[in-house]
Amino acid sequence: MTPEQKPEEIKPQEVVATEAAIAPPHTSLFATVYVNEIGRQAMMTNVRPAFPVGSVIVRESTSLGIGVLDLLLMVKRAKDFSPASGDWEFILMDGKATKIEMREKTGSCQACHVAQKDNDFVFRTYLPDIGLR
Amino acid sequence: MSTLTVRRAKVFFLGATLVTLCFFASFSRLTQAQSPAPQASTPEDPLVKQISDYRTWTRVNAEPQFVIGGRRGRS
Repeated sequence: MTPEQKPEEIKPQEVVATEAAIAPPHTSLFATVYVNEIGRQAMMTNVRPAFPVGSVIVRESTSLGIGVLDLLLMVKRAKDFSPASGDWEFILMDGKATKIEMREKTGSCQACHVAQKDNDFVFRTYLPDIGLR
Repeated sequence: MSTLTVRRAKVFFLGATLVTLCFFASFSRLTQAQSPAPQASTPEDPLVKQISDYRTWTRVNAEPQFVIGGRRGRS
């Protein structure tokens, strides 16, 4: 896949060798992560990132034959918004990015992301291995 | 009971029924007019507009990453 291709343009034969090809369709998920300009440097280059207020990370979940299922967002809020989550707000939106279905400061999102407290609560397993994770 | 009394009772009953129906019809229209239109005045969350162009942002992973374990994953 070229960088210009949108995730829904992935052809089935391109992933035939992955686990997705043998998993049931509704559990075959692919994640594509985007970061806005405010959070770009922290995400892409900083070894111990401290994301600025206003940073937004979007994780797009797609499934073959269905398209975008939903969007998971992390939004960096002002200081003291939620110390337990590094002032991140976790948001679930529908796949069309038109409706907020859930938003939380803590809960299951925070419980998992707290493992990355040293990285400002952000998993960067999606990054190319350039020594940042 | 005389025929006249029965007739008067019928007229009274019909009149009372009509008045009651008119009252409830008017009340129903009045309450409908005062009810707010559903969802029409709900303001759109600014976040929806803020992320509307998220696909033009920096893409972190060059290839979509396969995720095991359902909808909720890590970002």
